[in-house]
Amino acid sequence: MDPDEPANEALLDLATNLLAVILIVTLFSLISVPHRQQGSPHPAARSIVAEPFVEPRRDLFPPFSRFYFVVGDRVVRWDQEAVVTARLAEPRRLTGTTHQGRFEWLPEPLVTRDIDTFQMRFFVDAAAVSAHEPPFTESAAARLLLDLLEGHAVERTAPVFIVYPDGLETFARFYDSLRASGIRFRWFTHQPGEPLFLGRHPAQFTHHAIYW
Amino acid sequence: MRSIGDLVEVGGADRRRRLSGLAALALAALVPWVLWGLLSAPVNNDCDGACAADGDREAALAAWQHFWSDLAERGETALHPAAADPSLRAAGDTAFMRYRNLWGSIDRDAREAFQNAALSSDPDAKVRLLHPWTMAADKHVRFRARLEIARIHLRRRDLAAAEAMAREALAVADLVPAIVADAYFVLGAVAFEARDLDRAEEALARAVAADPGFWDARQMHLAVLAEQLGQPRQGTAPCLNRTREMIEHLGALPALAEDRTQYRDLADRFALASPVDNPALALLAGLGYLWSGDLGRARDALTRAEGARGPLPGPCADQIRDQARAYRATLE
Repeated sequence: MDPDEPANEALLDLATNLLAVILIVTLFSLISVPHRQQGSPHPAARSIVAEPFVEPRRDLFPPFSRFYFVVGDRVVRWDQEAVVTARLAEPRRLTGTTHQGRFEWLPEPLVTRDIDTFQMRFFVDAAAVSAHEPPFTESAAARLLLDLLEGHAVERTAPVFIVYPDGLETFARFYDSLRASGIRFRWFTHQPGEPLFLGRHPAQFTHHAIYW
Repeated sequence: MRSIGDLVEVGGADRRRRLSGLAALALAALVPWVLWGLLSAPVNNDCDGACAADGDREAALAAWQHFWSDLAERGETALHPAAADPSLRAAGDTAFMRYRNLWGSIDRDAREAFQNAALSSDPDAKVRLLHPWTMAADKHVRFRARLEIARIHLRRRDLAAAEAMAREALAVADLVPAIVADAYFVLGAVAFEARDLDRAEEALARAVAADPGFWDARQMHLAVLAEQLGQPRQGTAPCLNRTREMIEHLGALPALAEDRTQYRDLADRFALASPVDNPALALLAGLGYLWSGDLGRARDALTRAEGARGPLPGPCADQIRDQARAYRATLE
């Protein structure tokens, strides 16, 4: 037996083990390096404080609005389709009535932008609206919430509440449960006798920022 | 006592062992070099699905250099799109409000149907009112009806129906070139909603190309490009092109909105909402602050871009860092 053999074998073992260790270290280095890079902010980044403000983005494909009048102790859905039906029945007439009030179609703007540009006013008949709707009780509020949730899930509609001064208390009682439900909604105060103004026209885009 | 044959055998075994040992040591010595090479090489330089041709990279680099030369020569006004229409742009509208006097005389029945559809709050009723006009004799009415139905489907989050109808709109021939932008925008929005970033990027690029004044298409394209630049693996050419396109949008938007605060808004958006280690997004934030006059934050963001070692391929990141360094030097 060669007396140098154990020393040679030891050298060989040492070399192969060293190679294995280096390969393992290499493997772990390659795995860890990208993570380390991603998690290392540059020191200069710290100097940007919380003052910058990220403006909310407009909803370019918004939900479909479903209007409700809050008059006295009533919450009544606006029958917008009744206006469409009246317009279809007499397309050339600029005024008309529905069971909830009177509408006026406004003249076209001189500069045409889009084919569907329109402006109209709706004068709510508060007495007629109230007469056809029962008082807004707690159970009615619960039913409306369910209806709104379903409307958003199925048709992607979202409510807009037009609140008259005498309806503020009714709306205030409903407000918390509306917020708690997570439903997306808008609300506006509205003076009696003033028309509801509705339309699609250029100033909505050139002069106002629309978030819905 | 060993024979000569034994000695020859033992000598051969020794030589083999020594050779093996030396080979192992030589390989071990090579490992650090391999490791160094792997770490210093860019992550998959030119592969974005399939390997891009060298020509793409050269073209992207040429476009990149031309872009910065132009910017250095003319300032950020070089990025303002030519305005054929001097009136205010309709930012926030994504269908037709941007086009002044496009229609001329409009068929009254068609107009009333479209108005009634706009007035209705019932999506099904809207579609019913518009559907007969999808086959109208007037090509623009036909296009507009299909586009509006696509938009209604998109508002209802029916992405497949929205895409199908937008493609039907694009099938209408001989339109005023700019208006196809609205249909490409719907396709881009559908793809973005479905998280198909490549298709969204392509469709929105087409929308902007068809109508450079399309503010919302530029905004959405910016958002898509920012997400693309955050992806871990992309080629040098796409990286350079995407960064350049983002800066083009940054420069164009305030001109379209006639509002220089757009620079600031976009800079804030990218400074706050982006990963801190992405040099492209940091450069964009830096330029936004610079052009809005916030030199302190511009310096910070550009310094951040210089030091960022984010997910971009090496040659692209180097080009971006060079530009960040050059702009920061002007602020010292």
